[in-house]
Amino acid sequence: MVRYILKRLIIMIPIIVGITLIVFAILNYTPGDAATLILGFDATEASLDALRAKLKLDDPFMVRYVRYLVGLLKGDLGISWRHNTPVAAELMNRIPNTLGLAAYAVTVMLILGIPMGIISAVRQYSLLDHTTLFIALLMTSIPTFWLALMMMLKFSLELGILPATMPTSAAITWKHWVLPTFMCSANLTASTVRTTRSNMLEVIRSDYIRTAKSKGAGQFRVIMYHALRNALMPVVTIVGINFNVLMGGAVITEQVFNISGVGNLLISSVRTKDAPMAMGCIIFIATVIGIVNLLVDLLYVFINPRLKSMYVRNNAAKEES
Amino acid sequence: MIIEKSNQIKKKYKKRSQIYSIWLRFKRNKMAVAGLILLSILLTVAICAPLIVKYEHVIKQNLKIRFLPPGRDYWFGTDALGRDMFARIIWGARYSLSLGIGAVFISMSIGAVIGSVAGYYGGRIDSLIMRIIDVIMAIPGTLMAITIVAALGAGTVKLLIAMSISLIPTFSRVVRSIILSIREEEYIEAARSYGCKDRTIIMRHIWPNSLGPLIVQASLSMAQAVLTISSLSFIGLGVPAPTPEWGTILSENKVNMRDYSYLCTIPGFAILLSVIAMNLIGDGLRDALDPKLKN
Repeated sequence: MVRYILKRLIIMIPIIVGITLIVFAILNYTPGDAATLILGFDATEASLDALRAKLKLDDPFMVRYVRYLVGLLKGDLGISWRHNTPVAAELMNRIPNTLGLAAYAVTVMLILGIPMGIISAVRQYSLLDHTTLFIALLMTSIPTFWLALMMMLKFSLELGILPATMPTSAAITWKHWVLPTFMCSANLTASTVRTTRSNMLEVIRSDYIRTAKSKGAGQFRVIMYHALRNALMPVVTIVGINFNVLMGGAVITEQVFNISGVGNLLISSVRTKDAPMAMGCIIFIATVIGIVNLLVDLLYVFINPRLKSMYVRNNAAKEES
Repeated sequence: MIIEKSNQIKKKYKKRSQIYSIWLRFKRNKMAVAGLILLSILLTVAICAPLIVKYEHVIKQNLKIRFLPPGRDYWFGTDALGRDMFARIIWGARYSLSLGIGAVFISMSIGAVIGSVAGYYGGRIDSLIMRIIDVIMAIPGTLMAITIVAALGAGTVKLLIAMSISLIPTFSRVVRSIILSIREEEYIEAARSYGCKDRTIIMRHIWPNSLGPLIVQASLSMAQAVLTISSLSFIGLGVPAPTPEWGTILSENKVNMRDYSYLCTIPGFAILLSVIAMNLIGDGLRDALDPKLKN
């Protein structure tokens, strides 16, 4: 198992190198001079040259890229061009908000999505099922930023019970997280409901469920003990794929609610061509996605003993030879 | 007589081409048909926008008639600059839908070529292409689009480029997986044995067979593209302000949301309706193409 995890972590390295190369190239080959953007348009030619020399902007692309990678290997994310502060420190300030948002959204998605999907499948074609499916369709198709606007209109401006924007200081309470979490998880909850329902329907009709029923097991036991485990497996994969979407959605959510998170930082630094900062943000997001996908795969092995036994047997065979 | 009857049945069944039987199954799905009708209406509105209202109404400002609520003269009211919201929404359909459809078509064409090459030739080319696609897919599509747009600067064409790039990996994966499954079929081998060029095999034999799943993916991706484009415009990284894209309209009006909520409700509904229509069509097509799912 440990070897498998290590192997997966090593596979992540070329992916992250590839991502940094793409982002570095995008920032490098698009119009706009970094030195001018940092100092402003009224800066003198001499000061611009001095800054270029200081940041070593005149070196060839690959030289600068390799220099960045070497720094990255030492754990040095560089220094922000715009703020002149270490990128790592700024990221550390922002990470709790972004991870918090993602964690809340995933929690809502699991707590709401899976039970709704199960109930919907068990009571197929009931009023409840139709209502759930309709809401799920609505939530997969709704522009989440608009949903957020409408909720702000209702809960913040009309009723005044939930705040519409995030304060910057430590004055953040759970109330501030309600609307952003809802916005971030709306799409994903809906797709979890739909996947859980369709898998559950497939599993319920299989032979071993009929066997379990005929041997006298109650419906609750059949669903929770026999069916759920098998129905959940594809759902787990979907959660992994969706986490990717979630991180993208979190960027928009952070913009709408003005949350000072990594996504917000990424947009502002790409806009100002603050390359080290933008690279730091992208590396962080890609790493989180990679780790979550690894965890999902491990969870997959855990809830599906068939895979585990296969893996162990392979390992044993390898060790024998 | 029995032979005659069976011949009749044969005749009847021969007429049913694959596409026709897919259409029959699609037609049985009421929600999907509703989606198709809704999308046709929206597309008609988008194409006929110049016949419904003149473009000058979209940008003509008239400060005397600011913030008129929806009424007889101005069906959807007027905004902070006294512009006719009805005209802006109608023309917005043109921009939002054509951007979404355009992005999907560009990325589908490029993705199909990349996926075909990877899947058909296999080996080293395949693994190289797939590694690159893995890397791109590790960045969320929205994030990729944001990075490209932010680096290039906001603008309609740049948004289109960014959206297309972020959608290419999905399409090339779909095409590649289909090709891997049909590469070893007899008819491909037959085509190869009578001397077809690779290009002919891919275009004449492989693409028609991968059309179904590709169309399903296209309609679902289109929904996604319309959503992403409007959210990028909303956060100021998409279509710039005077152009009436639905996300841009929402972004312009959100400051006045408190007192004039209709300014934000209507454009949102427009996006919602078109995305629902595309999702319904996509789901319907997927079920129609895969009869196993719904017996």
